[in-house]
Amino acid sequence: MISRSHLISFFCAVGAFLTVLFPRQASAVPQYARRYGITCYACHTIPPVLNEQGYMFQKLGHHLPPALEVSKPVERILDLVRKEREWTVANNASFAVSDFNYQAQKNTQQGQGSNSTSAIQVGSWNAYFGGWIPDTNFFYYSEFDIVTNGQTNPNMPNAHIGYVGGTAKSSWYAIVGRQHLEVSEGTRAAQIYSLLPNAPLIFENTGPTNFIFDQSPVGAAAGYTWASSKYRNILSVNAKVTDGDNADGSEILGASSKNGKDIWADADWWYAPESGVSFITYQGKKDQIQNSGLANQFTYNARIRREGAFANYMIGRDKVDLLGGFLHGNDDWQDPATQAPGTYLTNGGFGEADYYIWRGLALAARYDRLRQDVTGGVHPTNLEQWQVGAEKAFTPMGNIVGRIAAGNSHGIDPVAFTGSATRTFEADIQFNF
Amino acid sequence: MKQTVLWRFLLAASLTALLAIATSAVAQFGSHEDEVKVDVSSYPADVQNGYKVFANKCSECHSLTSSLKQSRSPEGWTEEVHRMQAMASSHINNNEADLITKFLVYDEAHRKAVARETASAAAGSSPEEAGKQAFESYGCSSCHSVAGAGNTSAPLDGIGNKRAAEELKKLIASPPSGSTMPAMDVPAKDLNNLVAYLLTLK
Ligand code: HEC
Ligand code: HEC
Repeated sequence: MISRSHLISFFCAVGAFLTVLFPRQASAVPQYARRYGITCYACHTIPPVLNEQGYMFQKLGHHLPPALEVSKPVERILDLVRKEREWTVANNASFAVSDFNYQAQKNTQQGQGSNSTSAIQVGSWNAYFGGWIPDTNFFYYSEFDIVTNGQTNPNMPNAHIGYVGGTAKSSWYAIVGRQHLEVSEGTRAAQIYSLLPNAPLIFENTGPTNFIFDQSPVGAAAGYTWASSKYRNILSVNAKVTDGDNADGSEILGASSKNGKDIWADADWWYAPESGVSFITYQGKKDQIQNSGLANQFTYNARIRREGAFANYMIGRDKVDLLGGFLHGNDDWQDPATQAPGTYLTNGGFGEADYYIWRGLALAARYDRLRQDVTGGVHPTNLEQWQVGAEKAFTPMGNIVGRIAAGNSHGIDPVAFTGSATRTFEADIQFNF
Repeated sequence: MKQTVLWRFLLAASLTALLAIATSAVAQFGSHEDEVKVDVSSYPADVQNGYKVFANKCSECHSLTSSLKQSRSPEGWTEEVHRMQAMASSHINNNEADLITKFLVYDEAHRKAVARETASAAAGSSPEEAGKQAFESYGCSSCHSVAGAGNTSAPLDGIGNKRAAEELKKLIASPPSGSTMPAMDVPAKDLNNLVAYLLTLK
């Protein structure tokens, strides 16, 4: 019989042995909590999932949203700036945001049998530098990922500077630089981070055009946000123009003559408490190289389109969160064998239920499905994924989070028509210092 | 040669930064030294109930310490709780707000009042020393700092040069509307001591 405290010390021991995060799973930015003397729950349901306050924090240029009382005058952003704490390294930087994890996987490939792998590893290790330039409306934010997905692969998904103006009730911002997808898009269902280790397929799946939604391109973004008193309603519209990334989200490097242009836009509506709707659209035009390195290599300039709607509904007071989303894709596609032009169509969606048992403890389950249809393919194919998991914060501040999750994904490749299946079990512990 | 100097500088800078962050991370997440404990067992039943709601709802975004340390007039507490209701992601309904306010007002008039009495009795006989003590027991230092100690977002160093006694008295007794300074009921004796102390900050 294992007591609860034994279980907790087991987790801590596992954590102390390894050190650091899950695949592409971001974390809280603990210097913000440090700056204001607040807990992680002020801005997250459980880190890294953002609540309305965390969302507003981003929209206000990384300033804490003030109270919006019915009969009180509304504060200008500059008033917020004046009341900011002193600028120190400690409230602008964090170096020790890390995740240790254990992963076990069983992969089955049609016609090739199966293989199993397991690993205990430093899943991720990130550093953040973010804050504001004292006494101005300028803010900056950068994320340096040293380890991602268990691999040491230094990379900077965020590095931007912005300006925020207006009042807490009616504000606008403009940003230039490198911005990961999380930066401007979406209410909770549309956020790439979830209580479960893997993001929905519609964000993470790489189709035959090589396009992946989850990327961090360089460009400029602007948005307008309006909030009613007590933040009963928050409306926000945002647009971003970026350039310089390949379809798969990697950077188009110096000497390359490739093109990659993107336009992103979203409209969000939060209605208290903690429910919301988002509409997102993406239009891109990217050079694609097929049969790379072969004699019949060819390049074409594909148009890539995504349109989606996302919603979540919080039942009770921070109790049960129902989330769902749908993303439609319509990409140009050229058959690598015949070079015949065609289309790659996708319709993907997910449904998730999160049950917050009490502050810092939640159960989550999600089902994902992605239907893919390539011109010239025999028939449309499906990818499916389900995951269940539990998350628990181990400190009153909420900055050490443990998680276990099990999942299964299976499906058929839309071009090769081979099937594969993966079963996963993961346990991780995340440290945000 | 130049490179070595640069590397040494970078190394020293990152070590300093790490140390600064580690120290404040410990302060942020580790220390519970200044946590205030309240024994509500002698409080009336509805106030005890209010304490439960307060302990649950008001600890979500920050610790209870500043509410348990700082002072407010009854109107000041009503206002503070209304303000907290109007924060993003705050889900405190009016019924809960009333219960919480009831607790905070009762706690102010009993536990905090007694603690302030005891502290001022223990302080030296000079108004300046008693004022320094009152500065702590009214929780002024959770918003203000003196010589770097306390909350450095609103330092009061040099306030003795900036403001006259009457001005300070007015500021503390009835802060201008729209000010972040909360409304507190500071009795005349404590007020005089506080002002005497603030005037020494030159
Ligand atoms: C949704 C998050 C949230 C909740 C819930 C919340 N607070 Fe706050 N509180 C804040 C934030 C953020 C600040 C700091 C910024 C400010 O004062 O405007 C703050 C500041 C305060 C302060 C001023 C302290 C200081 O040192 O400046 C007091 C007192 C306070 N809260 C009391 C309460 C009480 C009492 C409750 C329960 C009724 C409560 N809070 C619930 C977010 C919250
Ligand atoms: C909840 C936070 C808070 C608390 C508690 C608080 N103050 Fe203040 N006080 C402020 C802020 C913020 C200002 C800055 C001006 C403004 O917003 O009105 C201020 C202004 C002042 C000023 C005027 C400073 C100047 O430069 O003119 C004095 C004097 C002062 N406070 C004294 C006190 C004393 C004495 C106490 C304790 C009895 C106290 N304060 C408690 C927040 C607080």
